[in-house]
Amino acid sequence: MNDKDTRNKRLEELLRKARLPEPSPQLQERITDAAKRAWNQSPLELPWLIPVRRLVVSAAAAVVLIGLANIISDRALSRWGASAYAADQQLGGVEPLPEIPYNPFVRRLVSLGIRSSVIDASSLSSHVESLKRVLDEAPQSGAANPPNPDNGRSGLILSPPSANSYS
Amino acid sequence: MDKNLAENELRAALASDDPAAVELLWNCYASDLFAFLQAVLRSRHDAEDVLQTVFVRIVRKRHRLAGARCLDAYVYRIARNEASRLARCRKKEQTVRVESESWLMVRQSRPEPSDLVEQLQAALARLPQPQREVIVMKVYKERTFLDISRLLGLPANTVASRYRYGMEKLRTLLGNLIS
Repeated sequence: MNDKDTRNKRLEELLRKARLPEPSPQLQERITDAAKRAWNQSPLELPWLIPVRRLVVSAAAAVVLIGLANIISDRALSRWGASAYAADQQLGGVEPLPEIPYNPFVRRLVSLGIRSSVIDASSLSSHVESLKRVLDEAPQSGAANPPNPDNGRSGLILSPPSANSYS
Repeated sequence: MDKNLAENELRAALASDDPAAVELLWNCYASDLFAFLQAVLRSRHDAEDVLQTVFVRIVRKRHRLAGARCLDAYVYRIARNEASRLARCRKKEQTVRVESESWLMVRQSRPEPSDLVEQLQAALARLPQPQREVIVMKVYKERTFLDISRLLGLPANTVASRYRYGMEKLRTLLGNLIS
């Protein structure tokens, strides 16, 4: 036993010259009475009820959360509903896509793509033919309305050097 | 009565919802809990009030207690929580503690001057709560470090170091009495 242990022993002996009071009989009576009253008041709680109750509460919370998420989602998408309906009307039966293309050429391409749901040799060949037709028309329609180079001139293109220039 | 036997009897009474479990609870834990609460709260009156709250709470949670792996650790956990709650309330209410209230007593078998008891109480009261509760459980309830670590849910090394630091502080505070 080292010196520290001896000193601790001596200190413990000193501390043991006092003692902690034990609970009195009056306190025992008071506390056991209160505990028995609580025993009679609190209903019998079966152990298996605890997980069942937790499960029910969790399910209810999940239903509330999903309902709230649906409401928020509906509200957020409602402003897109009207424009999607208008686009559908314009396309004439073409199902609305998440992103409706506005270019008439692309719109025609999309409508062709949507119609070609049947996969057999004849329908596929006719679909390819129609696609080819549309694609052939595309450069012609582009050539019919060529961009005006004068109007579309960039401000960055320098004018040719004149006689008054320093160079 | 053997501790395990008493605990088994208590478990059976709790499981069968027998109100006699209250008396068994008292016999098993009241003395130790009262000492522990006095060490934590440094007040006999507060310890009495908290002990009552602890017993009522145990009774309300009796089915969980019946299924607890360590009954005594569960009971100590409730006592510790209730003591902390009271301490927080006191802090919030800015209640001034009556320092003169005695929670240590003179031994009947070896009467000592009351002055000594007051000095011991004052020295213990100046220790931080974690060190004080370990020293009280070790010295006055003769618990081992392993026991204390299990009851308080702490590593045994932590309990041992709290005891060591607490004893060092006490040695400084009670230097004149040790010689």
